[in-house]
Amino acid sequence: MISNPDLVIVGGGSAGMAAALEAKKRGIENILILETDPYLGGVLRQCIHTGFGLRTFSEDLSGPEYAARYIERIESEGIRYLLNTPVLEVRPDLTVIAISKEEGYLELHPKASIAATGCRERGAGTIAIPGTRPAGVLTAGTAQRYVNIEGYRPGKRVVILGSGDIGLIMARRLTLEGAKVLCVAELMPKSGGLKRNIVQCLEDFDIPLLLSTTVVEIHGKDRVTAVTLASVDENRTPILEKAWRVECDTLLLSVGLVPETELFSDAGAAVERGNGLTVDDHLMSTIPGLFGCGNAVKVHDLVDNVSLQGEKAGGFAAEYILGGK
Amino acid sequence: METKHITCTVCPRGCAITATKDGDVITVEGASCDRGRAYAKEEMTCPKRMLTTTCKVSPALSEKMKLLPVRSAAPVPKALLFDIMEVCREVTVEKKVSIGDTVIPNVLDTGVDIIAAAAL
Ligand SMILES: Cc1cc2nc3c(=O)[nH]c(=O)nc-3n(C[C@H](O)[C@H](O)[C@H](O)COP(=O)(O)OP(=O)(O)OC[C@H]3O[C@@H](n4cnc5c(N)ncnc54)[C@H](O)[C@@H]3O)c2cc1C
Ligand code: SF4
Repeated sequence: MISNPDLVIVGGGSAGMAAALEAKKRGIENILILETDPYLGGVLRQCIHTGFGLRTFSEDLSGPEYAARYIERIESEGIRYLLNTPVLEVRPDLTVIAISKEEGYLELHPKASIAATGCRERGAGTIAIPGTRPAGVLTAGTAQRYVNIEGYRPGKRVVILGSGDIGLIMARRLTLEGAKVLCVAELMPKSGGLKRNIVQCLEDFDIPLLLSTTVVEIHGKDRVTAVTLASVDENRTPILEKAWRVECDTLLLSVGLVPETELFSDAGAAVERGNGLTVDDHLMSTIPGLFGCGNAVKVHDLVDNVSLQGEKAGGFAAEYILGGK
Repeated sequence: METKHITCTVCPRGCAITATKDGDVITVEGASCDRGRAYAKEEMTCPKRMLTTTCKVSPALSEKMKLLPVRSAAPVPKALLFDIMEVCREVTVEKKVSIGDTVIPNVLDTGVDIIAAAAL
């Protein structure tokens, strides 16, 4: 049986783990992390590339290695966590409802909670591309999970829409795995990805980055057979007269990440439009005792900043609990 | 004389470096630190990259993990990336490993090991 924790952390990624460690350090003994996946580490698990921890550890680590450093500390500090445990509801009085594979139905009444649920990708449903949605249209993060965790390659001839970091990383990954990445199309006149990723993921493999360009149509009935690309003018309106067609079997979407906040906004916490959980300078949401950190608050480029913010949230939550408020 | 514009990828700052090679003499401008200068020199001679990929895991060993994330212990010559991928594809991990354990020693005689980036 799970005794009632003082602090519940929703999400066991970088943010949640850092928060738990700091709260423990500040004297909170009874902490519980709830994680829906069968492992701790969150998105880091599928980010097998290096580029993590340059600030925190002054080392160039891969995602799983960075996660392992925190998981080891969670274990050695004896911080409790439940895997395979989705949180279903958070209430304004901080009641947390979850279903655990091991423990069954859980109703917890912590003194404080931390929202560390990360973010999700914008999918094919959220972008306005005319045409069908055949197989072969998927988000870059989903492709990353297929390749790095499931071990299967999503396609042979790939067009990537959006030059965010996940798209860039996948351009290299799929190229190394033997696929032909035909181009990365970016609607904006400039890529939002890190410079190092543009160099090491595109330029190194001569993959063209087409700026001010978008996909205007997806072709194919059961499976993608081609896409139509077009340049856009300064108002981001496609110049259709000059559109061209590219034969491909896969379209990867890397068109943005959205903080995962429904659980908390359903409880009445304020959320910035199209953005993360609203927090004050103590990282507390508009619900007293509910704190937030990591990509649930704002999409971060660097995991080091996520860990740092997680630590802060853990500290503020500990103060809140110990202050007896 | 050969001039190259290089974006330093050693740290997230991404300094814009201009490197010039004149015979054996390489001059570097625009780097903010020594690590960046060393990187630019290497880019002019033998560019190297970290390689991260996965190796198959024997189903008898782990039902949960089909693939083991692996990486080069140090950067490897860029020109060999695809060949090293080929080697990694042919390896199946048959026994338990910890982070940092060697999976493929001295891959293609580069002097660099391919190591486990996760535990099994
Ligand atoms: C593809 C990709 C590449 C990146 N590359 C780099 C890089 O090279 N260098 C770098 O420094 N940073 C990189 N980042 C950024 C950094 O890794 C992430 O920003 C950071 O790991 C996010 O941590 P998090 O804890 O906020 O979110 P996550 O890691 O997403 O963790 C959130 C956790 O919450 C869980 N969860 C969600 N909802 C529930 C629920 N209802 N109940 C229970 N659990 C729930 C999720 O399962 C997940 O485990 C990259 C990110 C991505 C996506
Ligand atoms: S030159 Fe130094 S500071 Fe500039 S990007 Fe390279 S490592 Fe970073």
